[in-house]
Amino acid sequence: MTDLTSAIAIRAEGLAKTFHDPQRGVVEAVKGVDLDCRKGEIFGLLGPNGAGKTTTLRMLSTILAPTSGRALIDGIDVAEDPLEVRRRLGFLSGSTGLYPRLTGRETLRYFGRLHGLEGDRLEAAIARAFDAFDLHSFGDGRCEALSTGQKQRVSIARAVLHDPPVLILDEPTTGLDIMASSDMIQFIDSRREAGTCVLFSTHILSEAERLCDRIGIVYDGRMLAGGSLDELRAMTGKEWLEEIFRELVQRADAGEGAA
Amino acid sequence: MKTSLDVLRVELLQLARDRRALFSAIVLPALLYPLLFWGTGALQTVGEETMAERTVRALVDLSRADAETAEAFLEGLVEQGPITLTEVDAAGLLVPDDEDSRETARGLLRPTAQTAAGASLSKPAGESTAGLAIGSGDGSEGEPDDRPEDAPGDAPEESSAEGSAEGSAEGSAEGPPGDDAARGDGALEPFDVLIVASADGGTPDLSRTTFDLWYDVKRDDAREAMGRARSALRDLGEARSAERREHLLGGDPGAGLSPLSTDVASEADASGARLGMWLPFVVLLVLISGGAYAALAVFAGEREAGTLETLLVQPVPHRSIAMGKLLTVFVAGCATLAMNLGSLVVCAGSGLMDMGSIGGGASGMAYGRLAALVVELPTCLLLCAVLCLVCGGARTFREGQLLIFPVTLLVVIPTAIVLRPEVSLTALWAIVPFSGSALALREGLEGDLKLPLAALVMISHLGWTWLAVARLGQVLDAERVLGGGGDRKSEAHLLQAGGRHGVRWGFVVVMGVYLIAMSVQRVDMDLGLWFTFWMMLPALAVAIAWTAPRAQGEPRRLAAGLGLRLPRASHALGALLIVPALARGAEHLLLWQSKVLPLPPGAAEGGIELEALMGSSSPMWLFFFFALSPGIFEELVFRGALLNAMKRDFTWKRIVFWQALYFALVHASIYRLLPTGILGALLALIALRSRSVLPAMLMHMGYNGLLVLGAAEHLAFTGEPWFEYAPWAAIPGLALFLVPPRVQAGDSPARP
Repeated sequence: MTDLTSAIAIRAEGLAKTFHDPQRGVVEAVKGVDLDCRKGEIFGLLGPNGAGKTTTLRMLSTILAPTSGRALIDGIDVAEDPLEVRRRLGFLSGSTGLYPRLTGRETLRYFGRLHGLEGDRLEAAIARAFDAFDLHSFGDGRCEALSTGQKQRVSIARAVLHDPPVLILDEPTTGLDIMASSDMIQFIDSRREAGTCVLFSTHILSEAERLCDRIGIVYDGRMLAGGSLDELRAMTGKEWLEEIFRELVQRADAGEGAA
Repeated sequence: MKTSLDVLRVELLQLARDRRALFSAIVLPALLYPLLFWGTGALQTVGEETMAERTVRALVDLSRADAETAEAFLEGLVEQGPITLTEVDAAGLLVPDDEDSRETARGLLRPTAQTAAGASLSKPAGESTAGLAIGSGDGSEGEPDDRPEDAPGDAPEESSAEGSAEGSAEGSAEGPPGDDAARGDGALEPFDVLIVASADGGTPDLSRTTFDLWYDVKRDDAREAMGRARSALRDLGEARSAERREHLLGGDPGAGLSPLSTDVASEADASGARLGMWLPFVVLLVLISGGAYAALAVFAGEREAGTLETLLVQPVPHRSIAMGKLLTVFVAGCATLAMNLGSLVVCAGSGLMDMGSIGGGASGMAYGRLAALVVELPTCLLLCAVLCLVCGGARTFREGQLLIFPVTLLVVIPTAIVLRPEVSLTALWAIVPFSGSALALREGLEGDLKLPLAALVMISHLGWTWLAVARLGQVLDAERVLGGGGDRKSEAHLLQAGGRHGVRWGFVVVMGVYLIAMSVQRVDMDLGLWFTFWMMLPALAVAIAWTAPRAQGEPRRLAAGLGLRLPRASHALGALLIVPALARGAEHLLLWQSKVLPLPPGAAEGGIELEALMGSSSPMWLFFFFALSPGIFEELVFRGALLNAMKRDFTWKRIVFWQALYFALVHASIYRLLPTGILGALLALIALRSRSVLPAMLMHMGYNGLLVLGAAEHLAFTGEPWFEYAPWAAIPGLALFLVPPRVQAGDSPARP
């Protein structure tokens, strides 16, 4: 039995984010999210658009500073040592763009160097990524000429080039065709054996149902519930994730109305 | 540093593979100058050659001139270039400046078949005035070339002279019909110039011959013919004068007095001085054009493409990334500059460029003096940092392009103003960004740049750069880059649509006043003032308020957009009470400024003109155009429409900055830059505090009225002893602004 606290790769405690908007005043995008994600575990954040998934992931990956609460990645506080956190992090943003006029290999080399890889280590890492994601046929062409699926493969290869223990993916399958998104799901699945902690957001229920060890349901800036599919079933008394989701959202709306 | 270099390498690689960037930075300058100079040079030569070779057609009536003059003139005229002369009787053309005569001349110059047939003024062929020498003789054919038209007998008679006038051969009908015959039927080819000579006086010695030239300025050939006739007359006149002097005095004592001036400035000095007039400008403009694209690509473009977010989660400090991007922009800007200068130097070296007009001496450009460009290096870095700041603030490429616009204005206009001949580099100027280095470059090209000042310029510009770079890290602040979450509405806030609307329109107003209003005022002062104040400014104000961005579903409130709301009476009174202090302050400010920045001689003359205008105009006229109209309409545009658009998004400090800047720029004078800037800032503060444009209008009217009417001595009370104490009224005036503004429905939380 491993020590549970040391195995926790991502921890968020009361994470909240508030924006100021001159027209609407204060906007609370995230109102307090708690979550734990262990090594070798796949955690899915499930929620509708505008629920606060992206903001949560951005706070965890040091891009945005939390208004309150704290977040630890591999035991390191994101606010205290963001550079160290970023070293342990592979991040794939929702709108992952690639430099259109760089080739896949140049892209990998650039980001590898930013991660401190150099010389033989860098070339070896690139060679591994080329094999793992089968980039050989298009990895030396400019990214602007690649198909969406090929681009996504280059992006993923870029995110895991430095072999990070924690992987945060923001809607990784959105906009992909069937083959590409199936490749992506296979890839996420494969990280489980590697002992990587994967946290990803999605609004596709079937994806979460199939892939995730645990699921967090986010709605209106709050984590309504978190746990394995069985735990969620027990909590709501519903069988399918879609029903569970509906039930939780209705409860939240009713609770708000009562308050 | 390693990170910055990695970023630099990748960004340069990206740019080098970008055809647009490559074209604008390398290919365009490499080709532009040679093409430009070769093109204009070639066109000019071709133009001159073809015009000189053109055969022009002149109608002449020299019957009333004395024979000797007429003959000499024609000889001279023929020497000017190929010409066809046709005799005509133009006795009806007596008054040169008369519409009837003009009509007649037009008829003669543009004959139709009918007028040619029935030309009442022309004489029958062969009846030329005695002594009229019409050049003839085509050398190659060796026979007279004069030939009558195929048209009926009394058509104007024509002769052709190419090169030499060998004497008179008029009226002969022996010449072959030739190709001119084709013109006889239908529309006739117009004549280019009509030359009518008349003489008065008795003896040949005292006789004066007057030449009237009639021509149609729209036609190239007519202008050419006119020019030839003029220069023939000038040569003739000079020859005659010399002859007469020689005859009467046996020599001209005045001839020895004509000056022979020699410029003692060295070739390099002369060439450097001319280069100094325009090179400092070109350097800035070229840098902006080269650096802007790179800055847009590495900041706004990357943000748009979504790569910036990925870059920000890499384990490197954001400052290093920003530095790498700044270096990229710097390299791109300098490459463009180097290509431009290189191309220019090659053009100069190969003789493609007209050296005299563009800054070379007889022996070429002052290449050595170009070393002074070193002083511009920190400025280049500063300009690139500014470009990065601007483009870093833009969310999209397109938005960045719009923002580059005012930056160019901010950099170029002060530089243009400072590069006046009477301004020289002082320690004060040296620390002014862009202006200081432009002056230093000019003085360096002229060869009298003092090293301590050059060092001061470079160090101060490095200091400015450091300040800009310190802010550059913030540009990459993710909260700004991403606008927090995927939240659309919060992103809309980042767009700052209202503020940008104000900034953009402010630029339009300034340029509109420069280009349109001032041109109209130059043509006609009264009309110009009417047009500016009562047509252009109100139209602009309404356009700005009408097109101001609104939230979805928000109604369009034109009056509120123009700031037309009832203010507190205390604020209106307070604004008026400040006026005397403001006027006194402006006087002191101008007095102080005249020591730092002396008025050039030309400006003093302008002042005299203005004084004359004030002296001669009625107080009513002065008040109406210089106080009432600007008070109402300048305020309506600046503190009304622009301020209310900016108010949506900008903090009050930013609003005051832009208001001061645009208000100073719109007055288009370096000598009024400071007073109008301060006035603009004050008026903006008052409008913000009172939430209405009306107190600002009152203050503006009062201030202008007091200054203009006071200067013209129309206000008796300004001389009274008590008026000395009037500025103290500002204290209760300011105190009145402590009263909180009138709150109306739909108001946002309080502003200053």
